[in-house]
Amino acid sequence: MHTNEELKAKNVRAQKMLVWLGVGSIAMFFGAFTSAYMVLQADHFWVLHDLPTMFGVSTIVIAFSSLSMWMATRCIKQGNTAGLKRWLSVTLLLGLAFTATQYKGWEELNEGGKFVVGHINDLTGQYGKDYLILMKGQPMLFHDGHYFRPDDIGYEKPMDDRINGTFNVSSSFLFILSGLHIAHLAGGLIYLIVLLFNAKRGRYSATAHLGVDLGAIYWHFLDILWIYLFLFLTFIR
Amino acid sequence: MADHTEHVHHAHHGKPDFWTHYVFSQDHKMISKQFLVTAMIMGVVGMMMSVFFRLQLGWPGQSFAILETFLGKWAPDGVLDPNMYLALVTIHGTIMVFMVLTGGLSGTFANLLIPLQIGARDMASGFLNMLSFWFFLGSSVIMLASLFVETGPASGGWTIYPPLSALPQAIPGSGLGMTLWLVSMTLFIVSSLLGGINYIVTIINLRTKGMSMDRMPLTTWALFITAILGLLSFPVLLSAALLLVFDRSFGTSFYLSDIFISGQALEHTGGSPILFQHLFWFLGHPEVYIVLLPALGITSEVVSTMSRKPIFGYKAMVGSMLAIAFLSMIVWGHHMFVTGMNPFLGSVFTFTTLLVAIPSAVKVFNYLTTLWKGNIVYSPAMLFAIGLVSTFITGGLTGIILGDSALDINIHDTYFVVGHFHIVMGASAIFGMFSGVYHWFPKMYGRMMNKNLGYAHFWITITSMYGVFFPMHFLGLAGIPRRYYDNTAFPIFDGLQDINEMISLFAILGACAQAIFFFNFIYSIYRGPRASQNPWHSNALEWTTPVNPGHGNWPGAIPTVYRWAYDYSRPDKDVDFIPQNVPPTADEKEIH
Amino acid sequence: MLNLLIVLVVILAVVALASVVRVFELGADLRGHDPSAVTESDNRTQSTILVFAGICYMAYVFYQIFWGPEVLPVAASVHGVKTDFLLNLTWAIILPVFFITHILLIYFGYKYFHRSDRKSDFFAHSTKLEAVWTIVPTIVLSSLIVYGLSTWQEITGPTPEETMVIELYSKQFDWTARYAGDDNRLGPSGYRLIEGGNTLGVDLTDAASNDDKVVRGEFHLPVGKPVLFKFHSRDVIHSAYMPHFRTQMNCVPGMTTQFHFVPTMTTAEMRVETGNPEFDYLLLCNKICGAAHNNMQMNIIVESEADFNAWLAGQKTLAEQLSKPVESEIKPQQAEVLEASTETPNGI
Repeated sequence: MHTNEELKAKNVRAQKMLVWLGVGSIAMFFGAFTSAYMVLQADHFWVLHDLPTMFGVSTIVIAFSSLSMWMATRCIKQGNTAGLKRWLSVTLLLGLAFTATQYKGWEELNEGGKFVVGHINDLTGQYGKDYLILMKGQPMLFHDGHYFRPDDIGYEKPMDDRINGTFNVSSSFLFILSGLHIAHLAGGLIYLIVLLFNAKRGRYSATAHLGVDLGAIYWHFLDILWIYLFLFLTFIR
Repeated sequence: MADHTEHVHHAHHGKPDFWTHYVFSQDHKMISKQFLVTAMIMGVVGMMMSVFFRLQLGWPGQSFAILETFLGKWAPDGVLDPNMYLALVTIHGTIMVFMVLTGGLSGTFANLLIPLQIGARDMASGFLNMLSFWFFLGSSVIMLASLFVETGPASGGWTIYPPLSALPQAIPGSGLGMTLWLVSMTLFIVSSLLGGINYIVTIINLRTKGMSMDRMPLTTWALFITAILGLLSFPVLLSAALLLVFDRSFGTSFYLSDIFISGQALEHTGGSPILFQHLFWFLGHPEVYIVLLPALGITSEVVSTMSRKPIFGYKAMVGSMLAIAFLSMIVWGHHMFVTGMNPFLGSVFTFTTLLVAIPSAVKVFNYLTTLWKGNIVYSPAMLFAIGLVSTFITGGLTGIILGDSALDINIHDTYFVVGHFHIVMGASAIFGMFSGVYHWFPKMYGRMMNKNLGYAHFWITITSMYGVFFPMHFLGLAGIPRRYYDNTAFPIFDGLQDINEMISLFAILGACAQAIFFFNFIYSIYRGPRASQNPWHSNALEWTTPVNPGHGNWPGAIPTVYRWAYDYSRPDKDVDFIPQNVPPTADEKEIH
Repeated sequence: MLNLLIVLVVILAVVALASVVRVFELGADLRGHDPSAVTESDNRTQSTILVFAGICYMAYVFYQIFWGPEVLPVAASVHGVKTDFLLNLTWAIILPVFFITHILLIYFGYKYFHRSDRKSDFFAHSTKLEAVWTIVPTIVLSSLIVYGLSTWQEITGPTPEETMVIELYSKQFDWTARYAGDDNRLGPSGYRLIEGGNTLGVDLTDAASNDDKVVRGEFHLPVGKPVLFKFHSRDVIHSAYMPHFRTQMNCVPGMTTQFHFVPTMTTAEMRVETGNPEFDYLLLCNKICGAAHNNMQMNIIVESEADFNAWLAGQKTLAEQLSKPVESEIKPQQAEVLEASTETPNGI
């Protein structure tokens, strides 16, 4: 027969698995977007741009927030509730800082002429340095202020007519991917606040801290998800 | 995630009041009934719609008072409006595929059976389970609400291919109606994910002592695999829908490119309508098996129990379900052979698609062998299970034609497809659902359904079902495209109007037959004879609970399991069946 | 009033049915039976009905087999003959499977209905049997796959030299065909050039465009010559379906799809074949596209090459068509951007 402890352990395992599977379905959700990104990349015109430098900063910030979340779980495992509260607050602040750096990153994108809904001819900066346009996977040629087909080495037939007015789908993706990540992070932030309140009321101890563990799984996932998106957007572009 | 789930469930709660018992219930059995009743109501709506458009197809342009009564301005003088025809086809498909056969089938039976069959007090999280139902209800209500939109409900087909679904200029239903469709589907996806996560976690973690995975009843196995499939594919549909929302409402251009409509060229460029189809069918094909697998699981259980014989090839049954589930993730391209896809890719999808026939064949032969030398008790549930075997064979075989890219060129999107998928996934799944309802009704309501009404229901249903869908193969081979408001524009189809008329008559008959079921269902809830604890003499664990199990399922300790669920007619025993919780005698060997 | 009456009748019918059911159940109770228990006589009756219904079903299917091939006449294209053969071969494999499995299902269902003096055979597993029905379908399907894919490769293979190119433009809710003129070249086109009578958006500044021929209502094909269709759509997805040629391809806005085939029978020959003097080949729309989806058609005339050339020569060139002022409800657009059809990706 099951003792109460066994049942409790079973329940803890079940709750953790619920979060893991939830995280898995979110991963599929983002996986679909990145697959769509790759499908469209091979289609029509595609703008390659470097990620804003602020996105690099936010990567570091979220990595540190993961570290502080780990510290928080370590503290509560040792029964250190003061440490738990301290590290949860640090995580919360780093989460907010991440959001701020993302916002800065979007501003940076907008300055480069990249919008949620924008055209290729909105782009500013220097072709080849700040951005690059692919046509069916090959970089287009740029000469004297005009765009040419990748194989048009003699610069015979400018393609400006077709470039102008074409939507910049890759920048739409940049905003949507980072925006959806922030939306998921918002859920994490709210949960962190709940954890902090509960910690203040002394709900957690060395033996009962499932809530913190669940939050930690989700928070680390958000970190890994962002790093995946960052690497994906840096290397697959 | 929240902390209120941290306490361990106790078997005996205080006396629940009306609200916590019937409305905000976290008891899996009540949630199961809520799913069933909601799905039945949605099923009636979906069925009525099919009758309405069958009236138009059988007797094109003729006036029917009933159409005007129900559809008002959409059927002026009783003649169906073409836009409304497309809307009916769309919403019929959506309701039937998602609300009835996904939400209704998985929601009802996963909730009812998983905890009972594995020996758990409840789902891993009763709260998420309750949320799952409320999202489902919300999604159903919004879908129904979309029927009353001024410009009509979504009418781009249940597959909502853009640009048609993205542009209100192309069809009026792509306005507010489509927006509501997308909202409804988003809620539905959240509901399925919450449910699915719960089912998986419950099966992995909360099995009672002795209930190893290889002793689990096939129903639970099927529901388990279904939940995994849903978890992998529904998020992708959500992504697809979200990108469509962005295109529709925020002016992005993921699916749209180079469009000239209503006298002007649209801004959108740079997207690909084909991208949507890839994302949609990445869900859409597994969805077929999300619908079908629970029905196959229910049938496995019913066929074995009612034949008083172990299911033949238990491990092969599990293996073939896993194989089907795996293959279903890599065959989506067979819906897109004529979209101009790379011919090599087409070859790959043909190959993987036809492979699905192998595990399916294994299942069919295993069912047949289970019947062989059995001792078959003809309960209504058993009849529906046999019906499922028949529809699964019939519909599955025509799939071999459709999956072949060279043949698909000519019959793609014709009535052949309509006939095929209605038989193999529509009829099979609904037969599985009926079978389950007749079989587990005593567990749900503590009473028995009337068997004679059940027999009548089955025979009329299967007759009208084949009457409706079998001739459609030939309409398809004659080249009649699906989703045509009428075929009168083409003299070459005139000779086939008789068949269309016959199909419509059978459709009306089939719809009437469901009234028998509804009467039986409601009558039996209140007046049916009281059920005994184990009316079908089944081995599975759900029949070891009291007739009306309370919250927590078993009043005392949860039974321990010593054997698989299919010890029927063992040659070394005198008894006809040995429930799973009966300990083995000293000299007994576990066989399976 | 009538509706009220109908509702009343339905309610009465339900009440009556409920009473009848109740009486039967009470009667069974009085005789000491459990009214819900499945009796031996139920088993006998239901299994007998199963046999009867099963025979009816198989007869119904059998009847339709003979009715089936009549519905589309013989394929009028080279590849169509091949796919028809493949289709018949597939039927020849699946119909026996259908009949055998159904006969077994019905036979077992009848033979083994429940009798209380019998016990089921405990037969839970047999590796040999399971291996048989895994391996046999695998072999049969493999051969079907190999044959099917070789047919598919032939159909979708490279376009032969000397193929005539015809562009098919679709929009809600009609079709337009465009042939190259005397120069044998089709001018580029793009949706932003659509203006007035130039509904296809042909680039009129290109030298190749002026002698192109644009036809509506019906278009002609030469018999025995390969034709390559290039499909365009300017609004939603359509699908060009020519059932008599066993041909179908989607028309997708933003990309050009293509399909090539060789028509083998002239319209006149097919009229003889079908015995229908009115017969015409058809192009239908087979992808839901809006309210008039069901009436988006174009006739196809297949004729000898000489007749075809004469017909084509008789058509006005695009330049001639557009030279006379065209009344149009379509608002003129800024025609500054060009979408060359040859540059659109994603052909077949």
